[in-house]
Amino acid sequence: MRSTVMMRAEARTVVLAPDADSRLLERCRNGDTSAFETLFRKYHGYVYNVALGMLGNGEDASDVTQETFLRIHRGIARFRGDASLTTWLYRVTVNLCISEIRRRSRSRLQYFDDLAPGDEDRESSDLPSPEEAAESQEQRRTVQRILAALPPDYRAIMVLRHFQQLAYEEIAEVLQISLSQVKTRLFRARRMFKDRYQVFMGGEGALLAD
Amino acid sequence: MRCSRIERRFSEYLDGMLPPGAEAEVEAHVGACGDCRAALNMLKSSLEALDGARVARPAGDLWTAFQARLAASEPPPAPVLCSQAEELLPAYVDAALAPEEQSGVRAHLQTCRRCAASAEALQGSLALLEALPPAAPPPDLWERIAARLEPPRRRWNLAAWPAAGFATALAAVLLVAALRPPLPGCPNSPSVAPGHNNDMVAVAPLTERPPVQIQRSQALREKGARVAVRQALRRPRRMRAPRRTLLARATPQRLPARRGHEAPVAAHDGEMGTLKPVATQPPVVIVSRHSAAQLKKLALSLAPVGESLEKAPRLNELLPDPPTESDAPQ
Repeated sequence: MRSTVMMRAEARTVVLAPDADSRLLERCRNGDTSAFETLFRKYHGYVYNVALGMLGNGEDASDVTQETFLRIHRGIARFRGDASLTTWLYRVTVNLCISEIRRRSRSRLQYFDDLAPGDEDRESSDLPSPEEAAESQEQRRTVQRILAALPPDYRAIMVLRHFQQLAYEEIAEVLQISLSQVKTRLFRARRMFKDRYQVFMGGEGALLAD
Repeated sequence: MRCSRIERRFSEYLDGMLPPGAEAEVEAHVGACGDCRAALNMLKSSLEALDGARVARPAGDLWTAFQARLAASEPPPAPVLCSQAEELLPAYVDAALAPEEQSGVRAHLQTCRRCAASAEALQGSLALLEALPPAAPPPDLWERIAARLEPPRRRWNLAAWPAAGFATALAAVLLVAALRPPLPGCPNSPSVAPGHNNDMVAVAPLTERPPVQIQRSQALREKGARVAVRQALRRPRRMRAPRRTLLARATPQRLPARRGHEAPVAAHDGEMGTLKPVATQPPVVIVSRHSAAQLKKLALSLAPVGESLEKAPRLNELLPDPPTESDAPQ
């Protein structure tokens, strides 16, 4: 199935033009390094954020981002365009993250401590007060801790849906599961997230370590 | 409806994915059930908190780090000599080589001016050809061709061909029967149609498709063409697998001689509806299982076909058998 994956970042929506990607891919196949750099710079932010959402720290996310593009680089000559480039990118990223999570067998608690506050784009007048910023930062960390405590499959679907805002059909394509499986998995992941959020906000953060 | 069944719908309800009836059911239940209302509100606020988790930008210049990693992951390319590079260039410009060969040729081109100039000339000629505007054939062209065509004596059955040898050979392109002079053992070669428009080449596809339009020929250097033919014969496995079978007969029409050659060669991809005279050599019939892009590349490089055929007896096996009495129309 061929589809145009819409990637949304923050408050803006970016619709990727398949034709532009096709031309870029063709140039990459011909060994054009600058074309691959363009492709890298265009998409590495999305890849990084998926990896960061799933792995929980910036160093691992950078590592997976590079590994993802290495695989894209190796496979680009064989990429036939049956799926969109973005679907392929997301799929490779998610698979690498899941492998990484399982391989390292780390604690299920993953902190996002090295995340930037993310206020670079705001006007100075919009800057929150120190108290608001601290509260916001604390809530962000809470959410990220809960997210990192979810099973890898649940993390993947939550990140794709809530960080990348992919449609159900696009998630199905990336994860290579059916639409009904997307609905079921999303429902379970959200329920688990909600239960833990509720407990955590109630001051019983110890449950996260279950 | 039970609360547990309603709760299962919350996820899709919040995404607006429920059909109207189911959505109304959820809203009615939530309006009447305090527990479910509280659960839905909790789910909403938790997901809003999740949505609020700001995306982050990667620290530092990941591209630079990636380049270093890419260089470390790639084995140093095997040295490529000029003679090897010359053979590999047609496939290189189409990125059809194995990755290590592709990088080997790329490295060679960075150090050898002569080969780099050849690669540039080849790419330039391909770009020039692709940029040519399409020419419309005369409206009665097909009728005139059809009147001159003999019915096919025999339908080629690709599936019956021995898979390993022929599939590989065909996947590499293999082709050809020269029309002028006819190939030995192939009296069935199509004849040259009389000229009508000097820019046109007529095609009689086996699939009974209407004729396709072609473009003015673009002469290529004979040397590069020979290289491509030799490469197709020697290294069929290096070509990418064809996506589908293409089978067509081309019945070229003579074009005016240019640059001291006799006539252009035409190639027809059989599927994509384009036909291009490709070199100034005797017309040929081309049979191929390549994708349109692969066929185009190799067809562009075909040149002294008769000579190549003599050196490659396998090609003759691909040509239709001479007509026998049993094959003759009753």
